[in-house]
Amino acid sequence: MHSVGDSEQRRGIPRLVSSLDPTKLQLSPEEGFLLSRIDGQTSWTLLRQIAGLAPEAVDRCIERWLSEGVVEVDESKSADAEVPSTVEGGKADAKPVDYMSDPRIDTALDIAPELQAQILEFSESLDRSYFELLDVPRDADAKQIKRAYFSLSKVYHPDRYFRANLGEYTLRLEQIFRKLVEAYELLSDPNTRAEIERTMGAMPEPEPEPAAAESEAAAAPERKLPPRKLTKRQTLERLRRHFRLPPQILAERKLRASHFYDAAMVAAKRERWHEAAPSLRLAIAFDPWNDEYRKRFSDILSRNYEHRAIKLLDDSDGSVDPSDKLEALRLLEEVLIHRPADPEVNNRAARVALEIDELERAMEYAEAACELCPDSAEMRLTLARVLRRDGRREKAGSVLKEAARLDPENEEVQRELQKLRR
Amino acid sequence: MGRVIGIDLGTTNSCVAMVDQGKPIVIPNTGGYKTTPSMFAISPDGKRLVGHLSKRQAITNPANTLYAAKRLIGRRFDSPEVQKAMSLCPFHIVRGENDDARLEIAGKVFTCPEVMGVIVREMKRVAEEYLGEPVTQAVITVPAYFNDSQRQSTKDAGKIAGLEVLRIINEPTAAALAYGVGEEQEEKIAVYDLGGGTFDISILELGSGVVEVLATAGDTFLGGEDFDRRLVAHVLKEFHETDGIDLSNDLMALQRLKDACEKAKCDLSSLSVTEINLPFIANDESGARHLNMEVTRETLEELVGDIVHSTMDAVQQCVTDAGLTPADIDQVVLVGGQTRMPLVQQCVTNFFKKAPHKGVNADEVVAMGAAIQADILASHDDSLLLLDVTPLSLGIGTFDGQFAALIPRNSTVPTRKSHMFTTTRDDQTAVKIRVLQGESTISDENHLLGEFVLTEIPRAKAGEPEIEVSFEIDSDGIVNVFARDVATEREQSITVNAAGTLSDDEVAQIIKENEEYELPQ
Repeated sequence: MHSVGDSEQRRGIPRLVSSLDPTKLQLSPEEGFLLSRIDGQTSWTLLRQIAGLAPEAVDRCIERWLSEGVVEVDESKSADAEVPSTVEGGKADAKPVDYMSDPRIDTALDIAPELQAQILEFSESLDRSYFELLDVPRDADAKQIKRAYFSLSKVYHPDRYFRANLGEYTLRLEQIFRKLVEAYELLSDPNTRAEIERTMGAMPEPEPEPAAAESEAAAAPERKLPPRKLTKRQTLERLRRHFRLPPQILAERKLRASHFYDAAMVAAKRERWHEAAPSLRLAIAFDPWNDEYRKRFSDILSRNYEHRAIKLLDDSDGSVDPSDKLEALRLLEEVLIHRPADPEVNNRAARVALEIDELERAMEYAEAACELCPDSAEMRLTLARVLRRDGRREKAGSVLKEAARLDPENEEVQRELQKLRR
Repeated sequence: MGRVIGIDLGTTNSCVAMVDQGKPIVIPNTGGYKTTPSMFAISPDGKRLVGHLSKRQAITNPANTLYAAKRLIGRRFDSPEVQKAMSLCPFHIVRGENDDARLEIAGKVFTCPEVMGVIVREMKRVAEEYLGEPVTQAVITVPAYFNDSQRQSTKDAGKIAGLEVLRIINEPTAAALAYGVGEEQEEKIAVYDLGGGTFDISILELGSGVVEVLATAGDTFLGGEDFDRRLVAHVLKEFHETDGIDLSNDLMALQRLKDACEKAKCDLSSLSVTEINLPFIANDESGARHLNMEVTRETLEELVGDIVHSTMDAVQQCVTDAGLTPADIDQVVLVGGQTRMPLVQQCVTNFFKKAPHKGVNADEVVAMGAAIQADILASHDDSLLLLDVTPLSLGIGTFDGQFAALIPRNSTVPTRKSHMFTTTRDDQTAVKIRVLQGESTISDENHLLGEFVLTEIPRAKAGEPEIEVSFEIDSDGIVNVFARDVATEREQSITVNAAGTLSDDEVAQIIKENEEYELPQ
């Protein structure tokens, strides 16, 4: 789960005050980098994640610059102006779309990641009132309702993406569209509309903003990405074919992608994987054809997962929650998808699995670790512990003897041997 | 990726178009004609003849020339429409293995999708010759009132012709697309389409680049051919009275008469009187006899007046279905050759109190619309979107012979609806689900699309088990039905493969057989 924190207050798009000469400012290289990211296009929310600084530090910087008159914030553009607003006349949604960190975004599909985020968000908020669904005021007349329905249909009707590879989004689009039809039909009929207004009148006004984190948590568990049938190369070919963009837009996107990539590399250099991964994801979103970005992505993504797992397992405050351990194991397994032959990760996964009694998985990872790194006493120790827990004491003993031979000094191995003899 | 084409697969004539540099253009055939007769014949020496070639020899080879197969496609052999056609057509109609109607010429039996497939292939060939490159994908139009079987069979025809059918769309919708939408103003349009074999009326709403079908009605068995037939009957009767000769059993004479009457009918759209002149139509003791008769526009109008007026009932129904009155309609569009008839134009004008729109050629507008939709789909054009509806109510038959509609007609697709049903007897362990399409409350009066059985329902008192039946029509118009026993979670589903249509294997078999005819030209 990613944390949204107080990002909801960080709305709008900061831009440099035009009369200003930035070279006159006294800035650290980090601050300089952040300033260079402020382009009047990237929202505050995104800046917090791509600047290579802690989000709080970004806030502090921008707030300082605001008070110094270095930057101003364009409130009229909403934070999610990042998502191309194709809905004509629809008012900008105030909720920031934190789509970089959503694992359901699949850049291999034929629809842009921005649109995927938009579809995800819409399909998970279908329980809103019919007026909210169509984004019309409660006193909207029939014409307004129809206009809203037509313009939303132009975004969400499955025909818009005819024969495109949409993965699970096909179903989501159909679901959204059916709901739009329902809203339109019910609100267009004066009788049903009156009925709806009566029931709504009896209810309190809708809550201003449901927490984004909550709505995602509710929908996340049953998600499963469909199997990919096309190779990446084929998919990219199709992407090119279906969504030919005008060259200047393409160039613009590439430029923005390179900014995000730079930010990702700065963060990666400092091993701030949790900042590097979303930035790189954005870079790929803006320039899906760049093989360099993709090559780096797998590595950075797995580092990020590993980093998060280690953080979860950090027991400096005394205890680690079992649910955190489970989450850590899941993250380590994600890492293994990208780096299956990393003995350290296998070993770590085996230990976590053992701690939460996932013996089968523990065995698998411990064996893999030993195979990958036959000279390590540490890995054998883990395997021996798993074997002992599994009741295979004899086998555990022989593994431990081997470990002792490899590293006679290792006290842990000696202690384990004694345990086994008891 | 090659070009995508739009095909108006008509009862009497077909037309093919494509979008070139943003504009729809109709593709002329090698003879320079923009429409091609939907006819297929086998000559006495076994050659397959299509289109104009087929029509040209039809007079001398009437028993081996197929036409108007569109009227039979997707219908059951026992349906009144097929029986009616049998009494009128010079070729043989026989019962097929799936209870479908098949056509027999030159000792060979053809399925309707096969015959229509030959026409589609011809249209494909016309396009390929014009473009100089292979064409593999198309949008094909059907009358708005076509049911699922008829649509599936039309898709099969495309498949048999070697085309991937991207979408089947309704003819009136295609017409509306071709009349130019995407302009900002919102309007309601009535499309009155009276073609050779079918009649449709649809009310559409256009605005902000979206075409929405509000309602549609019509008759798949009413068209210009009925006008011809009335005139033929009239001339036969007159000739019998004046010359004492009955031509109604003479195939060759009938075919000549039919052609002459069709021409006379067209002439009477611009002239008030014309002549039917058929020398050497028959022989008797006194030698060769000629048919020479004057026909006036008044006579024709008297003969077909009731047909024209009956179409207006459907128009009224459709306007009411759309929740409108005639005065709400901003534009009236006429489609189909038969709308050139002054009587038709007059009736439509009287009903809507406004003169119909005349711009695009009524014969070509549907194909142009199909080409536009093909282009929208294939190029992911986001300036235009067609919101289509299902033309007939979909539902299931209940135990007392009633029809329970789950998806009412004119529902926007894709759509999905569910309903709970139960058993009618104690300890009933299986339920048969009959999927039907139509507007009658009596299930037998509707068109049976298919049936399946949900089994292993736990024994219980009648009325206790809960069976949820869901209908789904996806954006391709394909009907899926799911039935689920709520208690056991047991689920059964079918993709409706309608009675009267071909199975996938049969289609594959026909494609294979046809390859043998694909000789180098």
